[in-house]
Amino acid sequence: MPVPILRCDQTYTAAGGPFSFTASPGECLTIMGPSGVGKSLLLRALADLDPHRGEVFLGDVRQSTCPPHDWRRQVAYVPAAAGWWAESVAEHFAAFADLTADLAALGLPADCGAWPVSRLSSGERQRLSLLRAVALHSPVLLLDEPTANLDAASSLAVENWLLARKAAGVTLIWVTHDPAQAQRVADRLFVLGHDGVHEARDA
Amino acid sequence: MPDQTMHLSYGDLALAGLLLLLHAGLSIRFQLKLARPLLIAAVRMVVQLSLLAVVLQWLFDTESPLATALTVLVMLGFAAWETWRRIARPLAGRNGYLVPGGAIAIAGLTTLGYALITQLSPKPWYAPRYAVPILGMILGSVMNAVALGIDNLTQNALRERVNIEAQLVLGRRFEEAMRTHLQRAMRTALLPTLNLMAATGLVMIPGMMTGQILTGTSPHEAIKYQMMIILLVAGATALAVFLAVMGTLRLLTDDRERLRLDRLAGERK
Repeated sequence: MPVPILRCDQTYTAAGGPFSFTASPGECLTIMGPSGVGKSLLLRALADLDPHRGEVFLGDVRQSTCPPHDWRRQVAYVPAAAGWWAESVAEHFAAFADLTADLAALGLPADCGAWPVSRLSSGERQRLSLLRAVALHSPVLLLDEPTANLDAASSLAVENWLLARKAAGVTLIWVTHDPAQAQRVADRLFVLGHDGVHEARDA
Repeated sequence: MPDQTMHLSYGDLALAGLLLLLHAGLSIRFQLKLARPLLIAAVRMVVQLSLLAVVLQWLFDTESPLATALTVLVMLGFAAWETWRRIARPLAGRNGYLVPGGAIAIAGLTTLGYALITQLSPKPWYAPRYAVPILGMILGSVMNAVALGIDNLTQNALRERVNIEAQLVLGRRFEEAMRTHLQRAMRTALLPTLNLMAATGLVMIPGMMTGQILTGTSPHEAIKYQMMIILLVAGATALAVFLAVMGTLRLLTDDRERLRLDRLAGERK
């Protein structure tokens, strides 16, 4: 099944706008910008978590007419600090047992499914929350600083693991504060301001 | 039947209040700072109930449907306001009163009407001697439970926001993401009612039947009335909590299944 194009059309969040851009299947867009400029708010609008103006399309599906839980399964948002609602790690996954290869790629022990969430370090939480979203097999991933809590080696492992999804056709919208990371992963680089998104010249 | 009723004099009432004065002495001696608030509360209670006696006597004597209806409306209005006041983070704006007030009015009036038409059937059916005291008993419990339920739901939604949204972004429905919080709010609200029913008659003898027995009613009769009141009050409370918590839950989301914490009022000053 071909992955449809994500198109953000004249969207306004509480931080500003209009934000308009398109992302093709298998493309990685990085979004940079100073703290407080509304990067997370833009991702939240793309996932339809906050009231916002403007329309977002995935192929010819309109966000405003798509059932919200279906939309969020297609355009999966991974917040910088994820939430946990059950006791053990595995309870947060549909089929934890199928994920052994991904756990290894992320440097997580295979038996961590039985761990209580309270025992996880912030880096483990971040990687498991990424895995939780990637396991949905969504065509679009909205990544909010996906390596913020990780050391350099783990960051690279996560980058490579995410780029493998991209190679399989997944669209990545990647918010980062690290210019070097943006250079490594981006097909196109954007800078976010209160007045819109601006594409940087080099990628 | 000989009149066994004891007639209380005002002197007897004053004697009953002596214990509080004794405590006030202790409070002053140990600097507990409770003497003044307790005495003020006691005086308030005496004034409020004395006024109530005048109003009730007048209502019962006139038996006017209009006056009864007005009394019921005022009681419901006060109940809505008092419930709103007890919720730390109610819904913002009018919904803050309308949701609990609506739930209380629907549950209270349905229960009252049901009791008046079936079990009690006074003549006329709206006789204030029955309608007003029964509604008062219902509202006392309902207000408390509705406030507990809404307060628990909104506080949990605020505290667990990240965990609720973590479920939404994985494509779970709002209803699923809120299920444990909904269950917890409903249970918290009904806990006092459950406990009351479990303890009644074992360690606690309810005030209503005690009053009846003291004025000469046989325990059998008094307890039958007490059971009816407890069942009616529990039914009204359960119904009101269901309506109020469901209504609040509905307003915490929108047609896009978002968590709309922006619809809650800010912290109380």
